[in-house]
Amino acid sequence: MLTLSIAEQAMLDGREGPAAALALRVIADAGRMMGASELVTIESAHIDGCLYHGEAGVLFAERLVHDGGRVAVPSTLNVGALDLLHRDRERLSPETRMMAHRLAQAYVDLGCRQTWTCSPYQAGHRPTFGSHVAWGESNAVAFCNSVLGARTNRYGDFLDICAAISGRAPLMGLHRDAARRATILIDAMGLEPDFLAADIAYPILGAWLGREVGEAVAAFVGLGTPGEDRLKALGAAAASTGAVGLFHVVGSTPEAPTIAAATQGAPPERIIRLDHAMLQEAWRGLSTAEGRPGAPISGVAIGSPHLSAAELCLLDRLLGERRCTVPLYACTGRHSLREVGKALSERLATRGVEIVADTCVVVTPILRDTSGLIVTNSGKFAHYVPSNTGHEVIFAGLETCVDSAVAGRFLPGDQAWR
Amino acid sequence: MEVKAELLLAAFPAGPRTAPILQLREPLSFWGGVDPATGRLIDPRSIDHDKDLVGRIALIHELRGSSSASSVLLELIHAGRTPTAIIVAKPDAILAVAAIVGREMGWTVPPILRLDVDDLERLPDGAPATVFEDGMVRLG
Repeated sequence: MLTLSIAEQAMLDGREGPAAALALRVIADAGRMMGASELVTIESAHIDGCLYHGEAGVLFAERLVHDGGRVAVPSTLNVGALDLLHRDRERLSPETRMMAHRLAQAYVDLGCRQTWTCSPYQAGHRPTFGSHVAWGESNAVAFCNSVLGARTNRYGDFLDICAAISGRAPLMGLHRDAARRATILIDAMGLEPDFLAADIAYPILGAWLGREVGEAVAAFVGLGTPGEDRLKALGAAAASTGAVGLFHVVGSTPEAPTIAAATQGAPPERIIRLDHAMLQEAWRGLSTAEGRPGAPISGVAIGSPHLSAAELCLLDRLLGERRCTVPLYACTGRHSLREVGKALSERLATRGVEIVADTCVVVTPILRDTSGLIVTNSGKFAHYVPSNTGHEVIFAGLETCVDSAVAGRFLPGDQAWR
Repeated sequence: MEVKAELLLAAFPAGPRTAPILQLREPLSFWGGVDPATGRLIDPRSIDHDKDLVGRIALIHELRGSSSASSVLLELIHAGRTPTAIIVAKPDAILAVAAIVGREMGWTVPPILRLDVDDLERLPDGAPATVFEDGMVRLG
């Protein structure tokens, strides 16, 4: 039985206008279906529904605008289908482009901030530890819960904007203490320190985690203190191959200062001793092509989740004075471009890097060749490229990505752990 | 044979729904896994690749992946290219919200039901079945 507060009942009765009533009706129905007994007041939202998928999403967003909808909490926007900073980069028909603009405009009219990024947590949207929020976009959800310690379920499109307008979400799942307990302990102490010292380890760990645990909450022991970009890569891969919304890294993430804190004092239901053989399978699963050294490639795609300023600087350093002979698509947000400054992005552009902002290459058609081989260092790109763009994909580290973009051929240099 | 499923979300407009069963044992992601224009399964890595959801009672053993799944299902609803009914092993808010929004927009929405995996397994792939308004699923 879902019980509403007096204020929520008033909203449902239309006291705050028809859009708020509709939004709360959707939230309440979803809550009822999932067995929630009450709603929780949220402090912010991250909206995934602004990505154009078709006419239906536009009609719904415009209905909310027409009904006087306005977000009740600070709300950031996830990627859209358009690169609003580099016009006409997407291969979209004029009709689709117009519909994507209509959708974007509707979400702006609802009062959302134009962040257009899947890394809102690196664009200044940092909810405080323990606060309740409603976020969409699976990697952002994993980061928000795991790294920031704020509380959100995986809010799909529409639920996100309905939560933002009503300021409410069903009180259930990861909003509650019980669901945040690690039931699986992953002992990573058997992994080689050299492996864990490399960026490539983290999307592999994430891809393995998602496959292994599905949506269960796990705690890693023995990862040390990976930085935010590594935790971002791990979470994004885990939320692609599985439905991971929260993971803990003992000694690093805020709800896991100790093993006992991560498991809330209860014994774990499962302990997994991670070894390289287990990871190799996950690693292989990230590629659809064998990755014969020297094989011609049609491009390199990085930046899912969107590159941070630090990652753009690393790309610049690795590329050095060299020039890409096939496109290296670097997907990022306007926040990172602002942070690194114009000089760096212009230098990258002169060296054949195609900077993609506000969107990314798996959500809208940008890749110039429509088939062939794409090399990526992103677990999430590796997961979605084959079905979303039709390319074959090879997963490799950033150095291999850069070397391969320069050579126009797959040049594996960091395959030692394979 | 009949089995009583938990009705998560009623069909709109109300009424029983009859169609062949489609068993989807591999984890399914709607975004990246289903073409929003046609309702076909498009992930080449899946054993279910190229199957058609349209006009089937889709038995989804496990849902995975992106929160854009709601958008894909809403587009299918708007286009009238949905499964006839969806039966999942676990309630899933991301799918349900598409159906809730579809109903708010006045579009035809398939019922969403829940059955334990053991019961899902007992429903033969390809067999015709009817899903009733109270959640009863009857073969034949």
